[in-house]
Amino acid sequence: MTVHIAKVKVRPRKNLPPNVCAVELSNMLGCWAATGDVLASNQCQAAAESLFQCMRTAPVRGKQPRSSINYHLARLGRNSK
Amino acid sequence: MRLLTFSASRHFFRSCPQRVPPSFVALRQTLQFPRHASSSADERTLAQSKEVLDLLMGSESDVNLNASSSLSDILSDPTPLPSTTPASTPDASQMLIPPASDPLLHFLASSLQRHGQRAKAERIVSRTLLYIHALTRAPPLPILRHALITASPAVKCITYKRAGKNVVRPAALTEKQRVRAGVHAVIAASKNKNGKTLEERLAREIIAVVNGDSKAITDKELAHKQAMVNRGNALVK
Repeated sequence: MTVHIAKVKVRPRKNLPPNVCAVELSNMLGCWAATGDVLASNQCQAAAESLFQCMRTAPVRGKQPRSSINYHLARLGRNSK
Repeated sequence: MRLLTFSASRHFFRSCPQRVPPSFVALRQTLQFPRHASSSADERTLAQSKEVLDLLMGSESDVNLNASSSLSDILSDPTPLPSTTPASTPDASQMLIPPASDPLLHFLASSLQRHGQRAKAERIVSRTLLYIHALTRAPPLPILRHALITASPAVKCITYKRAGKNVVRPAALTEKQRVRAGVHAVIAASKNKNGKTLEERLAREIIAVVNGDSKAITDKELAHKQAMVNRGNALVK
């Protein structure tokens, strides 16, 4: 007896925002870890400023399109029954 | 005479030239706000507005965001204006047109606005500035600007599930996101302050932020620490 699943569906992955200015961000976080200047007031101010400048001028990347896996599963599940 | 528009939406932390009197300029911001690719005209405007501001306000370094900074740091006299004009002077035939309203005050009013009551929100903002001036005897706008910069977080942590575990990833914020987070943090923290009206509580909270003694700053520090701890996930896709 074949297994019958009424509705084949997976939980789609969360679409995370694109990683702009990743290098400057990791530099700033590394500076925070090294100096403990988490509020970016003394030693890490320059790193924070470079990140802010990067975010101001980085190209706008649109949201990632949502995964269409459920559409395909529904379509193929319908045909296989 | 050519007229250049001062692109209002792009200058949150840059004060409008006509609003900040030249004598209180310790908080001259060098931050600019073009989020999207700016046209050559906008770049020229920005460059020239920078020069004009340099002339008006003297050369000041970036704001010292030291958490323990007191009001005396903000109100210290600026360096004297240079007597000779700098090498690149703005063209005399071009006039910089300031925006209709300060974009930061506009955003603050928008955040305080409820049920479409814009005039009420703008009145609250005006009165908040008045309260700040009354409590400090100093121009309120630089203090407000400094407070919002100090309270604005630079990163946020996104949690998502991966292989059954909750993974925390730090992500950078745009200038508008930062300002929004800072404004909301200050408004939320103002609820614990003394004062019958919202404007009085907000003013006290802003002064507390400048003095380094506020829940908004504590929350920002926590968020930054969490981002720092999870900095290994920042580059993971």
